[in-house]
Amino acid sequence: MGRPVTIVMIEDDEGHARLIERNIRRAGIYNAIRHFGDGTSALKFLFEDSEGTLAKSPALVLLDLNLPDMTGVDILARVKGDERLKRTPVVILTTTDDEVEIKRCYDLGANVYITKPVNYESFATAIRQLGLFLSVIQVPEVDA
Amino acid sequence: MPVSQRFFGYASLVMLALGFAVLAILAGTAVWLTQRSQDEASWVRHTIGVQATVSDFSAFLERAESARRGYLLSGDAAYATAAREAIAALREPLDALPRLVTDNPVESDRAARIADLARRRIASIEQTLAHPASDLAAARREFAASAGTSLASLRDLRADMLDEENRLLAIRSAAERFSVDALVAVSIVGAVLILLLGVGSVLLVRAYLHALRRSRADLEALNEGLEEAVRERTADVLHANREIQRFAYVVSHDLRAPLVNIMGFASELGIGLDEVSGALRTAGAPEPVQKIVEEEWPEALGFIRTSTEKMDRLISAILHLSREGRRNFTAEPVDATAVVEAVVDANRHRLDEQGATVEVARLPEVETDRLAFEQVMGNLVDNAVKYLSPERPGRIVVRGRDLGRRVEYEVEDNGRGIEPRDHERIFDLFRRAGPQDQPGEGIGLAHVQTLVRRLGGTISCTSQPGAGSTFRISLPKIMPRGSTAWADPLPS
Repeated sequence: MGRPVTIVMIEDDEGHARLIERNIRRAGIYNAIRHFGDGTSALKFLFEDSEGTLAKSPALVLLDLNLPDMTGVDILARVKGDERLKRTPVVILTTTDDEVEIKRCYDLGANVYITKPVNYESFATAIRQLGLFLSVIQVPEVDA
Repeated sequence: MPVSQRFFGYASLVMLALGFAVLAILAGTAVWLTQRSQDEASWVRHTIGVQATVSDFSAFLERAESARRGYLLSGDAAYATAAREAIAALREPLDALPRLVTDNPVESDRAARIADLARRRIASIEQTLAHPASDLAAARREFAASAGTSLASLRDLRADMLDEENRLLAIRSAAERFSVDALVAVSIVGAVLILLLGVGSVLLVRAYLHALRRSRADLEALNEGLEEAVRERTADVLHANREIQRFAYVVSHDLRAPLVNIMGFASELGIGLDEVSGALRTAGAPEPVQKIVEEEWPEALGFIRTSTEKMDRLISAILHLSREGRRNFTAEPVDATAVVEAVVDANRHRLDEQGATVEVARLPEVETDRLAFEQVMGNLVDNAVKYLSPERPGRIVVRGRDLGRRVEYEVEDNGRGIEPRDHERIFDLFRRAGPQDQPGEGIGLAHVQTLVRRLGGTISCTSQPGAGSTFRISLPKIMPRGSTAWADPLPS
């Protein structure tokens, strides 16, 4: 990665967020992680970005589909429909494993779709592999 | 006027009875009146006969009298002959007259007196005629002595008799005319009555037909309403079903999220615990504390983990069922025999292990959703293999019957069987029966029932504990198109 990538994690379940973060760290990824518990504040950050974080570094979105105020699909559509953000990689990380939903997300431009396994070993492995993936992935700059 | 069937039945019966009664009365009256008028006519004829007899008798007597006088005056034998002929002719009416009037005492009396007078007169005439023509002087003297005495009263009697007969004739003729008039009147009244009944019957039948037509129209309207109601109910049921599918989907996802946390943090605790126990050991913590950290807490974490895993399997099962409910079913011709044989082949290893045999009869073909049918037969055969009895060599029979618009398949085993109280329960989700010595979550038969219902069929079970079970599914030969209506795109 050229410049350090900011990981934008949109996840309403605090426990999940914590587990994801721990496992990412265990995989040796120390990028900054910005966590948002609802869709509204996440969208505000992505589209308004008062601190200019996105201007300073490229971003990667970790997105849960089940959010209290909107569905992750709405956020995905907004991000992929935005001229500035559309090249930002979006990783869907959710409990939903319905085929229709998975297809819909890829149709909207999701880059990776991962189902959260209940079994923790599998979960930890999946997140660590995601970490490995994050360590080699090339993320484009967010156009200012 | 609305005419009920019961009223129509009664009314038409009454009208028919009335019609027959009028006809019978008419016929009886006619016969009676005809008889009467015939009687009266014969009486009229009788009276006329009496009158004729009286007239004949009088005429012959007058002629005999005239001939005697001629004889007395002229002594001509021709007069004597004529007188004798007249007397001979007179005999018959004279004898007949008393017989004719025996019905009437007054006339009978008169007739007797006339007969008496007439006989004396005849005797007198015969006495005159007995004198020879050469000696008529004595005869003339006899005649002079007797002449005129009885003849006048004879004429009076005759006149009385004729008067009486005329009176009777008048009465009897009137009676006869009355009978004939009555016959005509009765016929006319009867005809009018029958006509009225006929008109009434026609009106009644018309009213009844009208009522019938209206009730048929009502029935048709009702029928259409019923179809409409059925459509509405079906829509309601489908809607409710979609709601349930959606509910199951949402609930199972929302339940999964906390499970991820429970599992995750239990594992995190376990990771931390290893370090804590190592540190405690190095620090030389008391034995009971070490026991807690090294044995009790790991055991507790183990229970949390196995329970969570079990819960995850159950939720997955619900998800699976709800997904089956949403899948689009498409009907295609399915070779049931081939499907079952493939299922049996898939179980071949386990069957051989248990030394069990499977007999697949020639099964009727069916037009249904292939995947669902495969899953149903797969589950039933799998269950049959799973629950064979170790006490006897297993034997599984799959057979089918073509019932016209439906087909029936049976999977029969000689396995351990199911208690009667469990026959319904085994189709419930997560419910199992008998010794829990086989792996499984209690999903198979619930799944089978869901599938069979969606295929438009039914499933039932008969079983004898210790003897074996038979599962019977009945499917429409051609799957109704409505079966696919449950399919619903995933809610966002």
